Amino acid sequence: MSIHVDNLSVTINGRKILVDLNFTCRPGEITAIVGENGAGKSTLMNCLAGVAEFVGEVTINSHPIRSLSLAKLAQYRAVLPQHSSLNFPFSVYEVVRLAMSLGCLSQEDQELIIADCLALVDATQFIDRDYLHLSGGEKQRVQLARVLAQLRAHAHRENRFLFLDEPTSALDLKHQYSTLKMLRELCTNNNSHSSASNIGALVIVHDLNLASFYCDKILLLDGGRLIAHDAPKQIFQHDIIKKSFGIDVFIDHHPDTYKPYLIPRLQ
Amino acid sequence: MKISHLSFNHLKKSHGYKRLVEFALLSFCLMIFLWLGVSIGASNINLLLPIESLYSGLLGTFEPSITQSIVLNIRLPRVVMALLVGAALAVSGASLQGVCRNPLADPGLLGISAGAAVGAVMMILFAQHVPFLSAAGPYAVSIAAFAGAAIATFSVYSLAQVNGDIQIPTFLLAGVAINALAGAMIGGLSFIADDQALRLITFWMMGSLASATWTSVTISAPILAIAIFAIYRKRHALNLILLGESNARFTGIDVEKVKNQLLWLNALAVGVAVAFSGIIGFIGLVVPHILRMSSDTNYRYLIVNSALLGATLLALADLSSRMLIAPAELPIGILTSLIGAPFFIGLLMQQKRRMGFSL
Repeated sequence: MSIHVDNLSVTINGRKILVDLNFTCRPGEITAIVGENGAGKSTLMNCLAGVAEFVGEVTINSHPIRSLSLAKLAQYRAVLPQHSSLNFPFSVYEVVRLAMSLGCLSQEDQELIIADCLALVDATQFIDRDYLHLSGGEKQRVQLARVLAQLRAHAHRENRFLFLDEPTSALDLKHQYSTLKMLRELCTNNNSHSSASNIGALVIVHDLNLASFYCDKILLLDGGRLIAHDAPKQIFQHDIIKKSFGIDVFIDHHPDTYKPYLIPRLQ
Repeated sequence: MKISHLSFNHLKKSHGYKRLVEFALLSFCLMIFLWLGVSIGASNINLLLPIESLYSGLLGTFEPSITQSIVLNIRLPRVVMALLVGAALAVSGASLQGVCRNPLADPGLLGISAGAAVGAVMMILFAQHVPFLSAAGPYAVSIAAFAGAAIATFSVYSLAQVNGDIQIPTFLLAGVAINALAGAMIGGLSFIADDQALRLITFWMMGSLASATWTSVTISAPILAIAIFAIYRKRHALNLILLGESNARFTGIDVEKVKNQLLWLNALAVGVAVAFSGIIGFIGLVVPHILRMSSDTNYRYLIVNSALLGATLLALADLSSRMLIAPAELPIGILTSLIGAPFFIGLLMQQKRRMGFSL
């Protein structure tokens, strides 16, 4: 019961965006999707989310995603796109609540979920602010809370997945780390019935160190091809980084956790 | 967690209270203008008249006086028509703004009303020569107006769509183009029309509720009520579309389907409203905007409040159009445009300043 990708390819106007991808993502895992700009990361995420055309097969909890309606898909996965534009003056409370407007949760349940999800992204203090008056990073956190609320609204579903496209792009240093840490906790121990979590996450990030510190696996794309799908310490090899990103790096290990991190060479 | 719960309770109470007050206030204003619209007229002003007329009309105990039958057969249908058309135009504007994700959308600006007018005018002209159609009268005109509105709606919409996205500049320009085309067509039709038809065409262009009768009310009321209710049922989808079409899709909304349904409903509401009242601009733009400034963007409340405020404002406009240059009448479309156009300009300037909105 996970996400299986079989021979996934996408061609747009004769240009190959994704070529023959095969991989599996399990609940309880965070997979970081990394790669250069234009490597096909967002396209891959749209395919997995069931809103883009592709060749091949993608299944979520053993259901081919082509066979699922948008309403059904919304119960299995929640998606944070790269940009969310809202031109109308909603309060933060309402923005998060919108995630649950198609469900049949009681007012009390909805409010509990809103409070929880805002707390998870450290945005409780904005609850009655006008969304349009928030800063870019604050908006991003509120949107993430909305996406989390959508996942929470379908808590009875067995396995659920989060697809996040650059959730940290507008965040300050503190919130980049707290957001990934929160995701880590969500995916590690979100299940009252057993010790394993039933939430999995796919996250597009550009900060490879964040990916190393908090993700179980890194999925490295280059020119639409899957270069590697492995634990961070396997990916953090000088040659692999040099080949995919075109820069020389130093690789060392974090003194607290002994996870690898890298810094670019300057000459 | 405890803190957030406290703030929730506070939120819930103050918002629920505010919404209730708002709803009561809007309903009260609507009743007031219904009352005034029936009491005040060119022949006389008597605030007790509605009660007297209802008494004699409903119980039939007395032979109604001339003023009383004026109230029952001329003023009352006219005010009811104003309420219906106002509600329909405001709800149509509110939903179009959701579909386009832009607060500047309005059935008049996008050429939907003009399209409906073309359909109506054509039917009026052709019906003169076809006995079957002239017998169908208001029905035939309504259907033609609906067809015209639908053609205009989908033309503007498909013109404005670039790679599945609504481009705002193209959208407004498409509205301009359709408006110009419809204007030319109405001009051409009035050129070939005889004097009697010409008078009618002038009526379409400026908008008036003077021809409202109980017949026109009984035809339009169920259609407009159904259209408004059907749009109200799409309130959650409209909210989610405001978050962005991809977000709506991710949340489980079939965006294309919902937008299509809403565009058809808009064409229906605007078409029927125009068939019976001509072109009345800016109600659809101004009403949702006032409501967003004063209270809620959420379509759960916006649709109902728009219907109430739209009805109230059009009843007020109709009253003013009858009173300002009494005993003559100012066409109501001219009045709403006189007030609405400066409002629109203000809205444009505010958007430019506040959001760096790219127009």
